[in-house]
Amino acid sequence: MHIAEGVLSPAVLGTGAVLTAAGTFIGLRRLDMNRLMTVAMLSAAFFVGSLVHVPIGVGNVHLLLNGLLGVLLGWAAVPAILVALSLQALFFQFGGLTTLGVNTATMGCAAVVAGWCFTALTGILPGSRGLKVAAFCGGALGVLVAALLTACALAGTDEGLVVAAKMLLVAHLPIMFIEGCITMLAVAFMARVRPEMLASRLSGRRGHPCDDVEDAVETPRQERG
Amino acid sequence: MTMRMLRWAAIAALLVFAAGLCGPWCRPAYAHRVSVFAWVNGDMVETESGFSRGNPVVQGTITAFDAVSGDQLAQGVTDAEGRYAFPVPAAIRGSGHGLRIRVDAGEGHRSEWILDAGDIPGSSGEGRTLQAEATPPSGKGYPSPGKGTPSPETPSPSASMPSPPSGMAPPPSGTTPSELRTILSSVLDEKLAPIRRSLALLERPEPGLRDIVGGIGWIVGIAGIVLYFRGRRR
Repeated sequence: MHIAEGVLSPAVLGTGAVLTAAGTFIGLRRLDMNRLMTVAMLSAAFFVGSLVHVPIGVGNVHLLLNGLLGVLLGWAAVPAILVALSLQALFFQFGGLTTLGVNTATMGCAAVVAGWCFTALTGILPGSRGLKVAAFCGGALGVLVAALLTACALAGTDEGLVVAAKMLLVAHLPIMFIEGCITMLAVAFMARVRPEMLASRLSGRRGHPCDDVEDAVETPRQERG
Repeated sequence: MTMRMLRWAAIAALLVFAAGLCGPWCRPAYAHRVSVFAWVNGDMVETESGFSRGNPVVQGTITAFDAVSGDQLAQGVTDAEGRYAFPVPAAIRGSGHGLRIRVDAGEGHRSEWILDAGDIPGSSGEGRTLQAEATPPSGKGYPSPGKGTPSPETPSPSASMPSPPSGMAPPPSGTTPSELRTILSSVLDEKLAPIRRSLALLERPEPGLRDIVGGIGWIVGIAGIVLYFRGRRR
């Protein structure tokens, strides 16, 4: 999903840059400074995730982890992705500096959509199982939307929207599944270890499984500490 | 609190470790970065295109342009090994321009490679083309014999052999200096092609552990700087 330099028209590049700037602004406004290190950690995970290749399916593709960032961070995923993509462009020549805006926009918007989906689904499906389902859907949706948005960005090239979308979707089907599982495991782990981190993502409902789990894990932690 | 931080550090370390493990293990990938390399082998320009970690670009489009004027000079499709070769375009010979070679691998993957004018035969004073061999540079002690003329002083392999009686044509094994230069240059091109290829590969290194750790350091550092300034403001 790293579109290289020189492929896209200036109009698409400009749109991507504007979207990224807006998303970064919103993300930084909504960012709770006490959670800054969490954002940095997940940004680092995104940065490294692109180096993990998954040798399944038609093409071997790399992890995106943008769904995970969206589920855990919401809008703050956009600045996190921007930082990670800038470093990838500088260090690895993945994508490029001119396409940074478009690449951040495709993956960042997908992350935000994944976050919305997660929040909405946890509202509909109660219980710890609902949490897992919501996390899986969020992680998979992040990849799906990113692939669709990348195809839209490529619509102006001679490859065309339909071909690009088909190729990207087929190649990313296994990744959708894998990232759904990763996000599910990460969220389940978070619900056990740091439930307060998830609380801000769960539309402020009381009586959520996380609250019970928090009480349950509090005791052993004190014994250990 | 320290337990939590330790746990986070452990998760981060695990992620990095997993990436490092999977990196070399996983099969070559079809992802983010595509590279094209080109070198000259005799009168052919050979190109090789690959995604990061060595997977070849199959059925990618190679386009060659004049690096100065931007005219399209050649186009073709890569084979199963990501290779495509085309003859040095006539338009580029003697023009002193380089070649800009581009690969389009689909889904927004594109890369370019510049072949310097000095690498292209016939573009500079002393090229490796056959035409240039017809007049070997003076000062090297070569007589300039016509084809078929016997020349006992020729420093060719035939000189070490018993010299043929004068007035006879050289033996079949005998070669004139110009033919020898042609043969040598083609053999050298053949022998040097892998070296040129690996030199080209060296210019686009794969991300290493140092880059990965450095990048993570940058991210944590940026967060640290922001926190520092937040803390001062309070």
